Amino acid sequence: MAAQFRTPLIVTPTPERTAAQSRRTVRSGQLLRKGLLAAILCLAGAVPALSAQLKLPPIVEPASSERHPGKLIFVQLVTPDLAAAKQFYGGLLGWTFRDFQADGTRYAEAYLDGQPVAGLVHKELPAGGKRQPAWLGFFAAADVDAAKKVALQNGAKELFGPHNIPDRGREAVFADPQGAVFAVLSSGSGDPPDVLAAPGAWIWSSLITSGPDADAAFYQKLFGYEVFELPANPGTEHLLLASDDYARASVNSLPANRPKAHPHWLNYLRVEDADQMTAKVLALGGRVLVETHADRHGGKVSVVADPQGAPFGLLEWPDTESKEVPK
Amino acid sequence: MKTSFLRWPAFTLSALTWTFLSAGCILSDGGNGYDDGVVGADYYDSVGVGVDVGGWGPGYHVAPYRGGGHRPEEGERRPGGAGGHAFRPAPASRSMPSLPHGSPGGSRGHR
Repeated sequence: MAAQFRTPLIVTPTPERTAAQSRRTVRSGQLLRKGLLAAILCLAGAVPALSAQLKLPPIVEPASSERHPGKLIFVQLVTPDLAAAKQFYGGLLGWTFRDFQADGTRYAEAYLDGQPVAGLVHKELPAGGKRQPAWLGFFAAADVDAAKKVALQNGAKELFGPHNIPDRGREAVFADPQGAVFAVLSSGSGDPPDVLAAPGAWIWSSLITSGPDADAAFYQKLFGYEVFELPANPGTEHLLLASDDYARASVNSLPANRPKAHPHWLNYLRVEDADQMTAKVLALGGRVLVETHADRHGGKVSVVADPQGAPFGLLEWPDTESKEVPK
Repeated sequence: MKTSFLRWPAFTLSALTWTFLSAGCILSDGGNGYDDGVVGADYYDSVGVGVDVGGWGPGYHVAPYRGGGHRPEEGERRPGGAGGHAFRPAPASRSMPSLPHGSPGGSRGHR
């Protein structure tokens, strides 16, 4: 056999052999061209598929090993006008943005002093429905699937099941037993450190609900919070949720004159002058939902909405040593 | 010799390229966890929260104390004490927490 293969190497090519070799060379060339064409076609198909994979940036850069279950670690806005939202929040807070787009979804990551501070998602408002833009708070969870189990066992409703978001982590969205919507996130890059939020960053959250007592119990089971009772008006409750020896959020009764309002979470941005920033909200096309007023920490609080209607709070919290805000 | 040398690498190259990239296409489409949308939490609130926010009368507070340490006086507490709550209250010995302070990389504590 070996001799048979070696023989052609030494024989003088006949015209028939030369023709056969030429045909094989042509076929081989065609095969090679087909192979290359197949590779190119597949690459052409693969590029859009790969680009459709929206990779959101990590919430902590550089990544850390810190974990703070129950801490608000990210906030995300869904808006029907992404460009207008970027203009509003950029003008109000000095946020800068990095755009991401894939599979028809437009997303902008907001940064404050180079640190991720929020996500903005563009989505058309469904026609005919009673829906409006909203900020969604993401609370840190060590295990999203375990959190789902606890949440559902204690009366929550799953809105989005646990999902992996590349580089971001694993997240899920629920409605608590009273109907307030919240998300949990197991960050792939660790949780942000426990430091005072910079002006223009998220500093506080309050749950305004028809069942403060039951909701506090629900979130305590979910995140292991310590629950503190604060003074409140007669007939109402004000509770404080804490973890790692830090205040994380408050739970309030619905205001007396809004007994049928829908329970909701409200997130607050740290500002140095609530009056001035509330006026700026109006100048940028937003509106005021709760006028600025003094809160128990001595500083002022207001609640506003962006031009598309998404509500959020403004909370004064000067970085001073005194327990009360200087007047 | 020349044609044999070319035929199999050409076929193998095309087959391997097709297999590898086809697998890549499948993985990028179905293995990324975006079954219900590219951003899992792209929902609108189903009710008019903005309409519902407001009506905060005097004494309607939402913020934590600065500095911590304050616990409600006996008269400020809800009747019934710990037994009247669905949640497990923090022990009375625990001081009221506040927000963290300190800048990134700096010292930490309460304000």
